[in-house]
Amino acid sequence: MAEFKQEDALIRLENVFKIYQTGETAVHALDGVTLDINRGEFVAIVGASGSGKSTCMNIIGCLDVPTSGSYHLAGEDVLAMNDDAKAKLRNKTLGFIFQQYNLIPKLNLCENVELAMLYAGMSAGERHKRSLQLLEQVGLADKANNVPSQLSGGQQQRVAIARALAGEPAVILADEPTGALDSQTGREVLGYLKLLNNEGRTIILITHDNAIARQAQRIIRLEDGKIVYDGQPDSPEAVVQAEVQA
Amino acid sequence: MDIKHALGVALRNLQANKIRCAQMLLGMVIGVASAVVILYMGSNLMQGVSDFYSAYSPSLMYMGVYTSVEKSPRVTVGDMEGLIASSEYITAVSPLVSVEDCNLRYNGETLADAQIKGVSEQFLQMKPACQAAAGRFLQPLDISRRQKVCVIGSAVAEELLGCQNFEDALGQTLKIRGENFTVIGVLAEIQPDLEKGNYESYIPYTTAKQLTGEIIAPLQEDYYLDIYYVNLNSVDNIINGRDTVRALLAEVSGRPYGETTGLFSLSTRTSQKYDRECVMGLVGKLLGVSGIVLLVGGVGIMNVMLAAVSERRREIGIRKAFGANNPDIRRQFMLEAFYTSGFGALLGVLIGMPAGWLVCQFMGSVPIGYAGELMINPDLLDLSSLLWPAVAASAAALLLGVLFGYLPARKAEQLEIVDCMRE
Ligand SMILES: Nc1ncnc2c1ncn2[C@@H]1O[C@H](COP(=O)(O)OP(=O)(O)OP(=O)(O)O)[C@@H](O)[C@H]1O
Ligand SMILES: [Mg+2]
Repeated sequence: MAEFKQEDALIRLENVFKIYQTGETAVHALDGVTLDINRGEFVAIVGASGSGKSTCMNIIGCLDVPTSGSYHLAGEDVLAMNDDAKAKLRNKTLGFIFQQYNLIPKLNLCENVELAMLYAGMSAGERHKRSLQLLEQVGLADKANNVPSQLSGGQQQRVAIARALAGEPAVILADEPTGALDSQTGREVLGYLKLLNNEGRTIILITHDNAIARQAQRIIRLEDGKIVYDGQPDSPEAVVQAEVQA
Repeated sequence: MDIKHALGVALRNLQANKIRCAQMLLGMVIGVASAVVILYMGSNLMQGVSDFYSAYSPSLMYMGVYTSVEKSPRVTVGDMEGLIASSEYITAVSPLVSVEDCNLRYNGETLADAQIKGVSEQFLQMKPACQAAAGRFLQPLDISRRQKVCVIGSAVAEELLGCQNFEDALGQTLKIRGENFTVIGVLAEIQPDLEKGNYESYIPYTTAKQLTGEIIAPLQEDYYLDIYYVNLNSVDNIINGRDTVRALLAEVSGRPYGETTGLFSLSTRTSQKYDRECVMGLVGKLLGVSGIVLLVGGVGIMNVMLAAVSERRREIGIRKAFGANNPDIRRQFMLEAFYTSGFGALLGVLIGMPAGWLVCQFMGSVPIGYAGELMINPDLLDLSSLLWPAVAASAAALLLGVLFGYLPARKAEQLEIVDCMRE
């Protein structure tokens, strides 16, 4: 195992390709992506629909594997890991927030929040205590025993944030977390993400909303699977033109 | 993976899909219930067999001696009793003379189920359960003097003589085929008494022979049939005991065994073994049917679990995204199948236990075994005979649940997260 030095990037993608072979044509969802993300950064990934944002995030989140290239997380070669080690990474290092909230409908809020703790082997009593604390943090402790369908979208997304935090992850991956929300609730969710970033967590956020993207410290813009911009949010290059016009 | 968590999820999924749940559980419930009934009945029959034979010496043989009426000298009781001294295998001999149509009467009343058997005093060694509770059993003098005395079964004392206290029956006079007999003993009550052993009474065989006359073999009218109980020193000597008597027949008749004589012999061990095999065979065949029903139930569980896995892809993806590894997912679905079949087993037991009890109340007997039927004891209700069939049938159901849960669980664990999360 390579020694992870503090100055190394937390996330390092090198020349990553993801190619989908559909019949005759090959879709390059990622076409040679190389990027470093450091501990504590707040990065927004933007780009047109189909540009490869989700693919990129799924690879960073160990939900998917690239066709070629290399990926190091905290100095460790993720692609050399077995399923079990990757499950541990998802459990302890990574926290996910999805556009569709993706709460498990049959579980109540506490049980949903407890997932990462469950698979970390925490005792039921401790899990419950901690999940209540987390729900408290997102202002939903009073609904702990409700099921997701009894909540509004914004409330569900707050539960999802609490759930993402359950494993104390160093990295939070949010794929269009505000996409299904009105702008007011979206800003609220963004507020939570900023708070988490201030606590020192690395945030990677996919968004279509330029206003939200501009709140990040750094913007990565993808086009047809390639990085076409990586830098400060205030450059005109950072925004997605097509969507600005729309 | 938390067992309680999986239980909660399983229960909620069962609850959410009641119709599917019923369809899934039907086979399991019927399979378990029928297996419980069958096992319960089988253990009842088995218990009846061992209760019946426990009254007898384990090394007892029933022997029918055939002697040609015209062509052969006949083996006497004395010849047979001589074997006790001359043979190392034989320890006791008693003739058995059944008095058919005994017409047992007392004060003008008859007892329909009564049976009278003529035996010698040695019969007590072969059926130790024939201990007299009051008075005494037959003694050699009763035999040699052809006394008209009888040792009656407890049911005879109670029902015909109306004696609650068996001592009161002693000295009373009964009529057997119109002749007066004095009661000299009352036998201890047999419990349970499925074969109506408490209705049997014993008189000296010498007296019995006077009542019945010579006995001609049924279906072979040129042969006498003399029946004996012969007790051996060990169950291992059944063949030796039989050969000893054959040799005696040859010696007495002066011809090779089988020419003018014949011997039918049956050890209690053989007939008990046969009865047991009959019960096992019946139980085995019926359990086979239950097993098939259970298998169908298992396939039902598998189908429903497979459907559940593809319906719950997203849930699987989410669980994996938050750190579930493949064994976690597999265990969850196996546990769900386990709990589901456990639920089916529980229902099956709840139906099967009372159903088994009812069947045993009303069935009476089963037409198998050496004597043509084996009795069911409706009063056999001890906990173990009710519990172990429930435990065994449930264990089979749970095992099947796990076996048939394996395929869906494998399918679930092999799903790729990205495929699960896509719409
Ligand atoms: N399983 C797949 N099979 C074939 N092609 C795929 C698959 N998944 C993604 N793609 C293709 O890869 C490309 C990138 O997809 P991706 O989901 O990463 O885009 P995205 O930037 O997240 O888009 P959106 O903003 O619409 O979510 C698209 O062209 C898509 O059609
Ligand atoms: Mg996407």
